[in-house]
Amino acid sequence: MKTWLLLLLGLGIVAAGCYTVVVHPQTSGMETSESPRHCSDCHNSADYYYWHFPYLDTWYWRYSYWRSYYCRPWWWDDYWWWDDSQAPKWEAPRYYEDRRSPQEPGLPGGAIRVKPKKSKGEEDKSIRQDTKQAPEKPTVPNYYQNRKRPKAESPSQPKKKKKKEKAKEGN
Amino acid sequence: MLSRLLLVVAVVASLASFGQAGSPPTNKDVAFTQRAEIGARWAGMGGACIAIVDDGSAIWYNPAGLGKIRRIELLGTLTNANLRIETSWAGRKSSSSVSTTRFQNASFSYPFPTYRGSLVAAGAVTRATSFDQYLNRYGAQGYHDIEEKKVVLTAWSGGFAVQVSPNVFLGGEGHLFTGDLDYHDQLWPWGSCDEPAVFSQTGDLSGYGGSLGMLYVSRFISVGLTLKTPQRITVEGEEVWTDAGCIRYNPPVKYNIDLPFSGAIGIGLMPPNFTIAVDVIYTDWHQLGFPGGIRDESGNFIFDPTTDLRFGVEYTLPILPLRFRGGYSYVPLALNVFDAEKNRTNITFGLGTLVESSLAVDVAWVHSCFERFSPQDEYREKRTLDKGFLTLTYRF
Repeated sequence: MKTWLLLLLGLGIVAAGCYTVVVHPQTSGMETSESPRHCSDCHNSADYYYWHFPYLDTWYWRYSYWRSYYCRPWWWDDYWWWDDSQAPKWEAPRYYEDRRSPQEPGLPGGAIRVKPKKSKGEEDKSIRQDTKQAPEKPTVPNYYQNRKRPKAESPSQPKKKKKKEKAKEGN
Repeated sequence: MLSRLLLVVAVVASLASFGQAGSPPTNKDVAFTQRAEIGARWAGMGGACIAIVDDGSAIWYNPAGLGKIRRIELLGTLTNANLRIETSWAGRKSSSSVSTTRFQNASFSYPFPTYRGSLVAAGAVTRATSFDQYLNRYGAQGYHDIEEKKVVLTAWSGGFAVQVSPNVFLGGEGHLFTGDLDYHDQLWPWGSCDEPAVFSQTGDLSGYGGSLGMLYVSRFISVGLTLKTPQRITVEGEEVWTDAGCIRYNPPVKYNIDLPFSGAIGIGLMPPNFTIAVDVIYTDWHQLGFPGGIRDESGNFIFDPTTDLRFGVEYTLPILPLRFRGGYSYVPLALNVFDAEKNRTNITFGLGTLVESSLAVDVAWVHSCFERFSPQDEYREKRTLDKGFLTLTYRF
């Protein structure tokens, strides 16, 4: 009795600091006017995690019936930061209106914009919602244009983009 | 762990031995020290699934396999077993059979939503593999022996699994046993009476146990390790002896049986459209704990350590949701009071299909056979078990 209770305790200790993440890490309070946070700041490698499930690397992924039965988590929802130029119309406008590029100051969700800086040395700590100004015409940043939705038929993991390639895309 | 229930039967039954000269070792019965197959898919693969199990059955085979479940799952299994026993005793042959249909198990698995990794909890209730036996034997000097035995052991278990790294899962489970034992033996002649002597033993079974598992998964290969912790089974019952119309009630009995550690390793290969699995299971039955010990009068163990070998292959059709399976397993007998002429081997077949990407239907058939003999008793025995499985697995 004591033996397997100790073993279970050890298992619990190992599981406490493991790979699995159940609660989303706290991100509020981490952004500033100079370095606003965006979901893509952490999730720009989301496709890596999307693919990186043991079954997704096996031949199960090739067949739609087995793929749905084994691979798709019941809680999983499609991620928003793929290039949804082929997405349904009801979804695309929301994508374009609410999302902000990493270059523009803003907060996750894009509903609030930081007040533009007046000078280089001036710090702007205020954040207010500007409802009087006409919304800028949304443009899809290059960063998002290149992020295609993963093809369902491809079992291999997409290669992680190197920093140099990302910098070229940003320019 | 379910295999051990059959060992329990063997040990419990050995409490009463008629000890008649020239009679076979009636109650030193078969110790089915094999792990019982749970679920049609894994039964169809020879029971080799430690490295590849990915449904609610993982709570028995390898709890770490629960971590591969990504949808809420309900699973249920129905079995039909037919056991045929052919004996030769002092030159006289006889045969008998018994057939049973049982609801084998049900499980519920719930994967918690995660941002990364996997965390799955599961619960299951499993009816022990049916140890139902009807043995009708004739021997020399007019001996006639009818032995009926029925053991039902239900395990109530809870388990969990967690993904601790991109390729590694850990899991554990614990279970409680409930069940009952019913044994009757009639022997003619007994003394000068025409009436048979009857020995009856009934009792309740209870106990607990658990297991731990680890699973490493990569693209084409997976490796599983399991450790079944020592388990305790408590037997409480009574014995009644009827002899020439005189009934004697023995004092109630209560004792514990401690089953030893059991370790297993499994390897799975997944080339395109195939799944290949091999399992090796080792149990040192010398560490079995039983009142009175497990040694004979010479001090030798009556049980030997066993190493089970299991092999299974599954092929998935590329154009239809159909899978075909086959397997083979070598499960040596642990009880060594007999001379094993042909050790126990299992041949398995199965197939499965998927309906609407949510309901998996699997069927399997297992053919198990072994032979043994006791020279001093002029006794030979051949046991053949044919068992069918039907499993329905629904994923929400």
